[in-house]
Amino acid sequence: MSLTAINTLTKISCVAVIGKMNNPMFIKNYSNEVDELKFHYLANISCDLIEAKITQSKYNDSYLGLLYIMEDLAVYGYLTNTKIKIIIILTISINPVKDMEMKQIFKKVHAVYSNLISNPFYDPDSRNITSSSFIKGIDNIVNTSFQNDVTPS
Amino acid sequence: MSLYKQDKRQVCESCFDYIFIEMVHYFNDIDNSTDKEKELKSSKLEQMGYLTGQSLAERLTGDRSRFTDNLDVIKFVCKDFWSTIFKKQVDNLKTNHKGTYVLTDNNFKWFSKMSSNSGQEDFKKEVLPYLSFPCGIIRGVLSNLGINCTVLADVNPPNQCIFQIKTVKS
Amino acid sequence: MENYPFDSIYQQVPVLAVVGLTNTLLNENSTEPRLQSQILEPNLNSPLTSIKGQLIQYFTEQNKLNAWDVFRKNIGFFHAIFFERDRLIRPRKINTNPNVHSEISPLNPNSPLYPKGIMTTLWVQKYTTQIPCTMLLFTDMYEYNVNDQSGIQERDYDKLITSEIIERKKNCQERGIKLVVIVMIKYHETELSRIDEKVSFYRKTCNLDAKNTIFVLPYGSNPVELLTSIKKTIYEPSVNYYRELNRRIKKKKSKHVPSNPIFSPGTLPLQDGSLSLSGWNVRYDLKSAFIAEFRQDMDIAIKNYENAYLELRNMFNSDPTNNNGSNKPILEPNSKEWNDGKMIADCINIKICQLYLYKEQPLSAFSQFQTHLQKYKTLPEYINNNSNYRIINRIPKYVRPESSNGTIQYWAWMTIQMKAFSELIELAQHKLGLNLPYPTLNYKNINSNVNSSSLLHSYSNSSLAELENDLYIQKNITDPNMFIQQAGFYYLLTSQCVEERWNCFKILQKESTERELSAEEKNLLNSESQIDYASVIIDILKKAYEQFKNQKNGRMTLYLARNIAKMYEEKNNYEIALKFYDRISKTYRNENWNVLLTDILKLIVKCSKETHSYQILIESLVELLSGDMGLEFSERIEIQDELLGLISGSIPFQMNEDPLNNRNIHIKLNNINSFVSCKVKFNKSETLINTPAKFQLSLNTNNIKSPAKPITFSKLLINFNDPNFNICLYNNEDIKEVTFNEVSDGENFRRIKNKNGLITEWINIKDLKHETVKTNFGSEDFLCKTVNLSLCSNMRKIFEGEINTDTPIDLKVVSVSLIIESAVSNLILTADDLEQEYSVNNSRESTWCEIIQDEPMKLIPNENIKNELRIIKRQPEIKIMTKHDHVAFIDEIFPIELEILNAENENIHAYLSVMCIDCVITENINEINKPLEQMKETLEYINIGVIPGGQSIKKMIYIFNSNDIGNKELKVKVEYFIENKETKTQLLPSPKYYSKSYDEMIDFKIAFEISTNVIFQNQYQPFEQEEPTYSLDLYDEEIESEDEELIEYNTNKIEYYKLEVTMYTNNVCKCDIDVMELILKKPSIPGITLSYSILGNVDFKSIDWEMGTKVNYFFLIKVVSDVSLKNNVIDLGDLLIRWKRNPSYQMFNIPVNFNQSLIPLHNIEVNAEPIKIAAAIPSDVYLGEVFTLTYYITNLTLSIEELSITMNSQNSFSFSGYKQTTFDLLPLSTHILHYNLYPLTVGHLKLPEFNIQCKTQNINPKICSTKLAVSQQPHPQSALSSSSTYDSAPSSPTTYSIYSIDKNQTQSLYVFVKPKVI
Repeated sequence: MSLTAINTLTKISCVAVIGKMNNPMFIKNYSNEVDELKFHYLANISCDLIEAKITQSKYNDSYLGLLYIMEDLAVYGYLTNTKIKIIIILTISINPVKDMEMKQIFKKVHAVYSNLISNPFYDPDSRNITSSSFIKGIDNIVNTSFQNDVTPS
Repeated sequence: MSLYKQDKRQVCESCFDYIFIEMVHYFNDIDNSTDKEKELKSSKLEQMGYLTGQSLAERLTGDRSRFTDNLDVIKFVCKDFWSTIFKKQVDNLKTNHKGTYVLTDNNFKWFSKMSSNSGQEDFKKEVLPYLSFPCGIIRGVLSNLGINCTVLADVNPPNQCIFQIKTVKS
Repeated sequence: MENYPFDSIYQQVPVLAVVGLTNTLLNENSTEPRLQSQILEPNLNSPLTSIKGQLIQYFTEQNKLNAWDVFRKNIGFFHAIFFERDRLIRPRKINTNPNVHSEISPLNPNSPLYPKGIMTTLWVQKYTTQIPCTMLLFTDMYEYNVNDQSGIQERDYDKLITSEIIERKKNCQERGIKLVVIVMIKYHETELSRIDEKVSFYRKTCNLDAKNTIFVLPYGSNPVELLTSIKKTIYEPSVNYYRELNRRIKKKKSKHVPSNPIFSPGTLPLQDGSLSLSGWNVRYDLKSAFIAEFRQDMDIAIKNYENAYLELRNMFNSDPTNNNGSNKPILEPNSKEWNDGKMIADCINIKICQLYLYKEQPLSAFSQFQTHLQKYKTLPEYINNNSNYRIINRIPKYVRPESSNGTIQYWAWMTIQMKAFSELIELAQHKLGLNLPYPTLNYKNINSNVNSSSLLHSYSNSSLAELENDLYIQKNITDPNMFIQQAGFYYLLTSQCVEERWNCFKILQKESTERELSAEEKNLLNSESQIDYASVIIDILKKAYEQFKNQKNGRMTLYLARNIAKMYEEKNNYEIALKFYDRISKTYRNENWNVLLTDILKLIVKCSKETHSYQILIESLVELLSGDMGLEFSERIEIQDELLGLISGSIPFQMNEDPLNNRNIHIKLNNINSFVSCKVKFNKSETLINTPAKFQLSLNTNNIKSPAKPITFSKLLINFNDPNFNICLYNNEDIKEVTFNEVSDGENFRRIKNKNGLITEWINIKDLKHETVKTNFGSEDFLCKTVNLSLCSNMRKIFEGEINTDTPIDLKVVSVSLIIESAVSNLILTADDLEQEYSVNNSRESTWCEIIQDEPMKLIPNENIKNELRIIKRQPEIKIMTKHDHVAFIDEIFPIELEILNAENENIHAYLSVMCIDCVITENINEINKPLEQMKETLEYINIGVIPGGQSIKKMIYIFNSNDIGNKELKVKVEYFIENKETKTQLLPSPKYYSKSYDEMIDFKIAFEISTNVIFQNQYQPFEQEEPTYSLDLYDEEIESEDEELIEYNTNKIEYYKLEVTMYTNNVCKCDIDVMELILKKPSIPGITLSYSILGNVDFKSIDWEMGTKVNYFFLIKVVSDVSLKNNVIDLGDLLIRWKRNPSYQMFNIPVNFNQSLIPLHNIEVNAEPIKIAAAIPSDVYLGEVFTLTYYITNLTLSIEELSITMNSQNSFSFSGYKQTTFDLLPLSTHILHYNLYPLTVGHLKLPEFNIQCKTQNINPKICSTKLAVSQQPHPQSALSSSSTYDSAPSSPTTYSIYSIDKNQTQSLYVFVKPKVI
């Protein structure tokens, strides 16, 4: 029972950015009960599912919606035109998330990412993102999203 | 389409013109003792363009539906991208359908303020260094959109620019 | 699903009984009703038997399929049951006694359900095995061929058939089942008619009404086709049959279950211990559901199932309506019925899901499934309030138990449910073509720019699924709780359920040690302990693995593989586990999923210890050292200690490999994430022999995290592609404890820390000693030095060495080996990819670390530095210079001085080759006098001997060009080698000779431009009396020659020509002219003699020739020819000029003898015309001054010519003299006419037109020359002046008349009349 109580408000548990070569660039764990490793696996798995999604459907929006669910984690995907994969993982709650809302969050993340690589001091060869401003940006998005979430009606 | 969607910061175009000129000068003025050096400098300039292009691609394709094929990408470059950067579209796009595309801009914005008192050949010579940056940009955009290519440019005075894009299979 | 009786979860289809294909009979003691009428033996050797065979096969094939296989084309799909030949359908129970019940009714004491059972599969089986909806009777027709008749008459035969048909018909009608007779015949065309009547006969006799029909299956036709068509026709009726059946069931139900529970009809008193009301409800709902399913009426079926389901669920709850007030559920908890009830519930659940899926409403199926779990997880036996139990996996809510963690039973049950569901989904994917995940994202709402195609897509074949999808999507929400994905995910979930179960079991085990378990807990423990959980999980995971493999989800399979491997670990099957891990790790490594890699590596370490595989263990440990691995500091310390411990042997390790070959553990750092990276660079890409080039080897632990604590190597090998350069560095063992404070030991060792804490060490290894080191490949020679080889985190250790050799070679470092040695084993880390990868903003590795005396190190960015050094021999420097006059003349011997300067300190020995286009060339001036043919065009390999260092040698060469003017290229090439180094250099591969070439343009001009003209002259005095001889010494008389005209005869004709030579001197340099003379040719034609004299004697030597001026000279050429000769062209010859540069205009004062230029002259034509006319006028003509114009008309023929002359008046002159006259002219004589003219105006005027006509020859000759009536002082000056006056008067008659020699020009002379100067 207690578990469900927690889950009434939706919360982003993890944000991941995956590079062109399916290499992880940024994976941050925002959940306090899941261990990081799991998220790495989830992110890794989602690469294929994104591929599958864009090949199977002629649906050509960047936002790919709910990719898959493993355990009680819902994995959403977003593929930029520059083949950067953005993954957001939610802990499944009672009241589901509007796709529009989700899409907006992804767009914000992408904007942050764009700012990052527009930074002349950013080294595109660097394997993973360490820029503090980037991380701050993501944190901000995570914390501000789903604030207007009310308990299920 | 504005470069900075979230906050519309703007800057006077002339500023860019100046910095552009300065950039090129900077690299020209460095003592190009050997050809290797010279090569290095131009490649450096090209690299700067490349990075710029990459970030531009990231931004400008933000809310655009996914590209279907290479031609689609090139078209994007000719239309949206060009009109964002150069305030006009490419005037002519040719392709041999074997991975070579030729973009012709009959009035290349960045050269619109340039002129040369010497003959056309000299003009070309003088303008050449100014091309490596835009070439870099184009290469950057394309590579970030998944097309690895080489970009060559040529100028026909007064300021018609022809960019030749050769995609390389990877 | 195998956990449930097949019949209760198999999706039903109409059932078809087939009889007559086989001849098997019911066995004696079977309860099935038998056919009364006699069966006729089919003729076995009739071809029809083969058809029967086909049919049997066809039916059995069909039976293998089920409803899902024929999805969307199920019309006419039956399940067939083969009836024995003599078997009948069992009739309805005969007696109507209400208290007698079928043996599967719970009311029947000997039924399995008695007393309270709800439903048994037997009931369904009745309809799947015994009671079809239609019966197919196959029977043969009488055959006429005599030979194979069993003596039976046709009449009897038919009787038999008909009687059987009738009986069967009766049997079927009793249950309202449709009978279809199929008569199989083997006929000949002739019998067609008879067949028809026979068939109709059958129909009549057995009066087969519309309901029961008869078909004919002729031999040779395809039986299957016929059957399929039959099936189609009978499909609808069979469905009706089931509908009928349903009605009966409803009737029965009403008997048992009053529509209103309060009013209970006395028929069946609900005494305790018998099936409850709701029980009956469930029972009948189920029945009708089944029947509905039989007739493929899914909606009804689902409805009924759901009713049954709900009703059933209530039976588990405590039921208030239970009349004996006790508040306990209808079903006795944990009683048989209880469990049966659960079983049934599960089956119903599966059914419903199945049917929903079949109707393409996956979401409904899913929600049904979830509700099922929800409803039943609350059963008491599933609730576990023992706080020791915890869930180990994160499991979706609908699977999670109510309590903190479910009981073993719960998880057992849940496993079954999940598995069943997974299987359903899998089937739906493969058989119903349901594509997952589902629902898919809604295009219309999400995708702002709708692309029509996707719209179309979502509307086309708008099956229920699509509609459901769309309805669902209206909300524009993808609800994770209502999201169906690939079966694989559910299998995975299943496996987790098993894990949970296992976990519970473990906990129970633990508790068993702590407390006394209850009885059923005990045997639960026992029963569970039998289970090999790991294998169960592995099997399930493998199913999942297959799923994802088919979906090409490689990465998911990796994840599963990992879990599978873990299970193998649990089973202590470490080898297999290792294999898995190894494969997985590769992929993760390639894509830099370091955290995942770390995870795997840890597991590998664990397993490799178990399997005692030293190599693998060490390798993984080394990789774990890398800073990229996601590890805590403490872990790092452990790993490092463990590694070093293992190497040094302080941690004992019992290896399974042969200890000999694993004493040395080789690890290629490039194949793994290494904690240290090696980069090598030379400070230049090219150097010269004997000039040192520096190189730097930098070891970077460019990470704050690793190595956790300083690590010290015992050896460092730098291997070059040429082993002679190989370097071996020892660790300085004296340094016991390693500290990393800033140090500056001048030119040997520096250590600095920058603000980011990056420690940079610079170590000089320029001073190396040759030693023999023994390596595991035996002993080799190395250049050695002892240095500090400890590395700490975030460090950059740079070894700067120097290469200096006297042999050219391409050098590069092929590998760098870091070695930790110990008594037990050696760890050898080798890096062989040392190239500098290009990085846009170059990172630390790509910088050259410059060290300057008493200064902190500078990092000089240096992108283009490579790990490659080319050592070459430099080309010794020489210079080639030339010296010469800047213009060369044609026909001149042109001297050029070459100077070769040796810029080296060594002496060089040089050879010279020179050539100049179109010119002959020599090094010896005297050679020039030789005829051109003998001279060379090139000078090759002139040995100019040794040029001492720093000095130069001069060399004179001469070129001579007699051809054409313009720029000629002078090519000079010097080939040389260093004298004293020769012996050495010869050994080297590089070329012995160096060569340097030098080109220069030499501009050739001509010394003089010469233009010549030949003009016909009239006779001259001096020749009058004398014999024509070649006499060149008659100048004096000649000079004062002014013509007074007297004609005399002469046997051979003499003609005079004036040769006018105009010479323009060049404006480059003055020239001295020795002489200018004519070289007359001896005429080819006999009887012609040539001689010449120059007009005026000129001493050319004395003249100072101005530059760029023009000079005229005149030669008089006398041609004596026989008059008989008709006109001939005579080649006069050449004009010779001997000249040379004026010394003041020469660069070198070399005695040069005169050059001679020959200018070819015009040809002249003798006896061109019979009559020659020459005109003479004074040189100066002034306005208003009379002057005399004289015409000399000479007859060159040997006949008398009669001539007539006219002189047309003309307005610019007035003249006196014959206006018109005629006269005869004797042979070889001249007639002279004088005219006095008076110019009336000035300027360039045309003389009065003078026409002459020769009657005899009927020609009018032209004036072919004029001559000046003034005497000519042949002094050059005057000549010049006169010529210049001509020039200034462009229209002077002379010039014009000369040109008018041209025959076809109009007869006109011009004169320039000057104004009178007073």
